[in-house]
Amino acid sequence: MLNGMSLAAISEFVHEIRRVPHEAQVIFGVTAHPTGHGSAVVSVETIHAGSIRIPRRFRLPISNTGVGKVEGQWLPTPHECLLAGLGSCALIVYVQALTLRGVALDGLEVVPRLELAPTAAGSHPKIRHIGYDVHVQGDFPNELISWATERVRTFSPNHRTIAEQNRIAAFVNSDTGPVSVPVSFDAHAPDRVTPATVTATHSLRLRWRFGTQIEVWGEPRGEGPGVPAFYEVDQPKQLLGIDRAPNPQEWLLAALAGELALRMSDLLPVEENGLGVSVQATGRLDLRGTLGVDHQVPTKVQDLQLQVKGPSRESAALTHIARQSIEAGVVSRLIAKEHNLVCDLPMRASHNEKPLSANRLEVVGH
Amino acid sequence: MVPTKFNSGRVAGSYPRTDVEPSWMDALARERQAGPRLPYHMRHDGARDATLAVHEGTYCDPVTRAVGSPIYQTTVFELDRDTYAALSDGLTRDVPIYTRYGNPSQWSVQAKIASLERAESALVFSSGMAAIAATLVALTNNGGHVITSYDLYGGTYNFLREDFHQMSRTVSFVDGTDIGAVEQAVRPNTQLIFFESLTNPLIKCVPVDDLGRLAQKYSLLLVIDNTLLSPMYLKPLEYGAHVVIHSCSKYLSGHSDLTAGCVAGARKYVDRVWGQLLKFGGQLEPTSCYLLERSMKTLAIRMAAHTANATAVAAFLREHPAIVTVHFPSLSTYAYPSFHKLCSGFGGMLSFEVAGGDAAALQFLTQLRLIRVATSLGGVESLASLPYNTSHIALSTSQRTSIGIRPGLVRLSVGLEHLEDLVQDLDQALGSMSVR
Repeated sequence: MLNGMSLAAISEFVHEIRRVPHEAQVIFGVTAHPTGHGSAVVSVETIHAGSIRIPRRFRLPISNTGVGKVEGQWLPTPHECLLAGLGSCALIVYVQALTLRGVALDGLEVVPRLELAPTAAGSHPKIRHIGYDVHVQGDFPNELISWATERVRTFSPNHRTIAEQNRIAAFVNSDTGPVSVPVSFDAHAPDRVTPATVTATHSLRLRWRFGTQIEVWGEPRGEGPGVPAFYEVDQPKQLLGIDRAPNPQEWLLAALAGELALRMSDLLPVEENGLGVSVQATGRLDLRGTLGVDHQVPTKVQDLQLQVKGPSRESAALTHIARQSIEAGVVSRLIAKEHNLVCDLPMRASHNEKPLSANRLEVVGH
Repeated sequence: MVPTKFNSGRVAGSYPRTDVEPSWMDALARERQAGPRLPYHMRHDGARDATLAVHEGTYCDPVTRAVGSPIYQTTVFELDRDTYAALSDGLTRDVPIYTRYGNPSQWSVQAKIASLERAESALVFSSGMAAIAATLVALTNNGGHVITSYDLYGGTYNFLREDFHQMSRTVSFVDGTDIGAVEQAVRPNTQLIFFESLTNPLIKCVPVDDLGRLAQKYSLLLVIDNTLLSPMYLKPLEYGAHVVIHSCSKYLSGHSDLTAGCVAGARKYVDRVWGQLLKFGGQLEPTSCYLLERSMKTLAIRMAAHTANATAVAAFLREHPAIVTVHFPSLSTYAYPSFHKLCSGFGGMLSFEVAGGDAAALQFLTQLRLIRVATSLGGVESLASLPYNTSHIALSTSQRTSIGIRPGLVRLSVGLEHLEDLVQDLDQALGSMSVR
């Protein structure tokens, strides 16, 4: 197999889901539980993939600030979880695309970046930039990289999810049943940030290892030289991986559920500390879109849903807090509203090609 | 037409369908193929089981035109451009490269097994336990949960009890004949349910059709060990099973001279088990493949003869004063009605309880002159053993009691001897139990 990807398996699967669309439906889920002091644990739930189940045995401790360790590992923030999901999804599609063109890869990195402009105290930060840089080791024709980038733009589910507008259905589980949370995002009013505004930049370095295994490196933290944060991304074995870590969609959902759980934990009364709250985030991929089997089928994560389970209290109060938290969240706004994702490619000319006039490829979200 | 070296499944020159736009990911334009098989492996689609048992999968060498399959006693095959392309594309199961990956002798007997089980694909192993271990690991993930029963072959039980948790999987043991109990055991991380179609040693029949519906309801994989019935009497895939396993050492080889196992099912599941076999090892050697293929040619008539003898033996034992109870599907006392709905024959396995408990049963065994005292089953010779000190020794007394293994239980694999000789041997051995 080239680059750890079985083209035969992909091909066979494409034919299967063309005949049996049910087998293309993959439902992911995570649940976030606040653990106090600005931290939470996100448990990854069993995947329902067509007619089979794929149990998952991953727990992601996260924190608001990224400070703090569990078993020697720095805790990612919800923003970093989102960047891990975005960048790894793009990386895997890059690997698949280049493998299809017969390229034996030496190295491939994606550096996703999120720039936020802080606002007045109490207001949510504005989103200035979301995108990623791509670094390919080796000498390839510019056409090949451009073609692969176009595949990522079109067929990376997490790229499409951020680029496009999405409805997030939110519910609070009360004693009398689920209560809908009336979330409202102004989908057509992008965040306006002046160029001179100081921003906070969040970034990760994602390095392809083999197959669908990806290393995620965060900024060094702690005193002195600091120790880089390190995480992994992988697919389950039924989806071409080896079950080493949560997959890109699970990282994305972890960001969504974790951000809401942490925000609600901050807003609930101190004596409760939000410890009785849990937030489940679910979403569905139709792989017919991702694999280009049916061009009418969306590529992005669909049926996004948040379910909040809280301590026994009036559902109206919990609903209000949930709504506030979702509408203010950076991750939830990135997913709910459409965005222009910027993808920078360091173009290198091969020996018989002229270099491109610019090394920046603007990838428009739609 | 010059046959291709192997069936890549590619549609030469064009995408298979002109009414759909090709997927950008479908570089190979390849559908899953039944097999693997080579162009010279015989196929008789639509033939009846007895015919399939004789002919299906036989490799017809075009040069010599030999009637029987040659034995490809080789570990390795030459590489060429086609094999390099196959390796690069991930198509390695269908191409002769290295015998652990695949060998035409394996493909011959696999084609035969697949046809009898009505499966897309089959895979042979060096033993039934190799097949079971590879299948259960391949089809489950870290954190997965399996539902099964104490009514299992002891080796399977040991694997699930001792090793599964070490691979971060969990197991629940329930009564497989109680569909309600199986359903109650389903958890969010349940992935697979595994049962023997006819249990060892009490010959209970699990409701494979109900289990198939349950599996579909909860998106679970159903794996059935069909060893005691053989594909002649039950085809679990037709009732919703996803994978069928056999210890081929038993009825499929039928002569107590070969250790082997097999797995059959849809290509996508068997391919995953094949991927596990590559890592675990446990493939079946070419000469053993030939022996298994040869033995299976007589499977239909052997099963009929086993069934005829066992039915008569069960009737004889039922009337004997030294016998407390007999477990066999032909008897009116048989407690599992699903058997008669699902199975087309009784098979050759039965068990019975002798009066006087395990001590009397041991005495009984020592008096047998024709029937051999040994574990295993399904061979031409009749074999008897006591589950409590052999196949089910790993269960505690209370666990054995909970599934119905009571003192004095004897398991009998009825062979192909003359019926009167078998009855005579049983009669004299039972009669001698009171002699001290």
